[in-house]
Amino acid sequence: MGNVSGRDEIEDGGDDDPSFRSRSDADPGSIHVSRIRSVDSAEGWPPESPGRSRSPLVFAPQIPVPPLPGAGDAPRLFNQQWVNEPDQSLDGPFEKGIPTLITWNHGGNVVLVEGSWDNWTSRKHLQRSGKDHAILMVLPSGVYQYKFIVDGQLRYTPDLPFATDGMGSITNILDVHDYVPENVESISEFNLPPSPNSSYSWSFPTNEDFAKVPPAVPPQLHLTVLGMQNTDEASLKPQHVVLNHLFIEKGSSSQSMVALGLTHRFQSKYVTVVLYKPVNR
Amino acid sequence: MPDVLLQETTLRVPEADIGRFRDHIFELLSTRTAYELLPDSGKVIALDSNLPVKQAFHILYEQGIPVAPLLDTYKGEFVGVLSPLDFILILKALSNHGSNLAEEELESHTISAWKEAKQHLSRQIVMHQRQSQRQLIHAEPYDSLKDVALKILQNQVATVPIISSRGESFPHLLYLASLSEIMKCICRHFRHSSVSLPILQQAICTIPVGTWIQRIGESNGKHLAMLRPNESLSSALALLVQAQVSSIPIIDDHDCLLDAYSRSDITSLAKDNAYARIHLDDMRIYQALQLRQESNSHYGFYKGQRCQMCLHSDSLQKVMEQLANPGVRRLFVVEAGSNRVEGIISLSDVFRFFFSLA
Repeated sequence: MGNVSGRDEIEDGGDDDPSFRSRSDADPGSIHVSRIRSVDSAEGWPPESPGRSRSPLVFAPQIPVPPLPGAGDAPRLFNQQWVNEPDQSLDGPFEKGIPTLITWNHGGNVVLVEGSWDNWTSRKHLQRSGKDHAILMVLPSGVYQYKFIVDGQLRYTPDLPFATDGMGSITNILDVHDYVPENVESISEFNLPPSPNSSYSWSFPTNEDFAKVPPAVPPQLHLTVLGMQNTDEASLKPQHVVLNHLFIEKGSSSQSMVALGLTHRFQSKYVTVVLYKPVNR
Repeated sequence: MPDVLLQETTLRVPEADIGRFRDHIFELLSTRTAYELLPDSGKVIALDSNLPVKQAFHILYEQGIPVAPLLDTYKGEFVGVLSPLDFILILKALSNHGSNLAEEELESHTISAWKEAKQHLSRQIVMHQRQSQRQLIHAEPYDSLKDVALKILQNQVATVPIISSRGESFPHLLYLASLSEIMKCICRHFRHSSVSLPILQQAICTIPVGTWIQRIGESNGKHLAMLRPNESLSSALALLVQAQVSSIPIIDDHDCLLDAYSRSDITSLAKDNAYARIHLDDMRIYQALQLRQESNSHYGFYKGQRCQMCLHSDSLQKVMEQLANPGVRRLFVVEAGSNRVEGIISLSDVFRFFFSLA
């Protein structure tokens, strides 16, 4: 994981590390780690999902890479190796915690953060690396307000979302989602191959042609989310390979009704539509 | 004991608090869009409007869904939704004609033929205040959550299909949105937020929301309709339609809550073609509830419980959190211990309070 590597560098020592400095110079606004590193150092990630382990596939399925931290985002990690911090005490019913990175990029020696996750009762130190400070929080999904205390002064960072609370002071806002949004820009469009060299003079298929056994369905198309009874499995993201293929329910040929299914992508979300149609026999 | 309750209700929430709360909700829902409600990977079931009503009935029952959008394949457009109310009206119409609910009748009628007949019926029977529309009530994915919620409330429906049709060559059906998911979004916002809204901690009986029996909470003037288990199914269906409610509490002789019969339970009549064999006047509510128990449908259940309950002293935030659970559309306010019904608070009641609608 990209951010894992970044943390190692933080521990090794701040100002003298030229490679880290050169990266942070490239993007002064945030801790920035190159994308190639993130794939190389990924260990035990992505988590094995049941659908994938059963597949007889050879190719590697697409992995949604979390978007790089940018000025407008609340940066987040998606690494199963991080464990809950033992000193993290959350009030209320237990909810699944999501690792989230909070960063401060405006200098200072000692930076702490306090927030509405524990009703502003405690302050936590951020780890320093050069001019940047960061802390990993594990929080249940929701919206939080937080503030930085930089060398004793209450501050907020304009790089991340912020708002005024009712009392006139400004706090940063953190919205922790429980999913990694698909980075739509990173999906490259499939380049359609050109049409093969042939003419439109082929004759219409005859009964002989229909009597032939049709070619086998490519095995990856069996990974459709259609027909999955277990709702947990069905809510997993579908494999990109099954998108925009029309499926028909087995056993429909003898009935007066047929069920058609199609999975397609809408922005970063996937929708499976099942249509029941009457068939004239 | 009644005096204590009266005292609680006189502690009304200050108008300023209500106003600040409404402003906050309004701002929150205006900045979020319907796209956020879509799950990462979701499934929607649609029906061709030329399907016979009988098959549609069975599909909804087998898939465990209460509502399905209708696609007119000739026009290439979505033209409406098939909801439990349609089935209730069909069964009532067929039983009114005196015939047994012959399967052939349901087999030959297509959904679109039924929708046309419904238009005629609605001119004869005064059913709803809204005009019967041939237009599909839908929302686009980038409509604000405020618009989606208002659409649901103003058209008195339970769900609104999210369809992307602007700039597309054909409409993409994306999701069926209901007030439940919007409530989940609101609760998520307040759960860990430190925005100070004291109204969230007020007892629900002090807030003018929901339908109550007298003297307990702020009554909205509507009578709380309840039925006994030995009453006929046809009286339950008639009440569901005329009172314009989606669920009726079933109570025993001491007004204690036993169960609830909802509009969506009508699809359980498809089990073993029960609708074809029964007379609505003869079937008792408890028999219909038994049928529902035997069916596989998990719709409307949350954590195995059909009726979600709360106390009149529960805070507004607690009530909202309960209503945000999937499958929960209403809470029955009961007396602690005895389960005596004191009121009902539904999702639409709370949203009407948010938007200060009647």
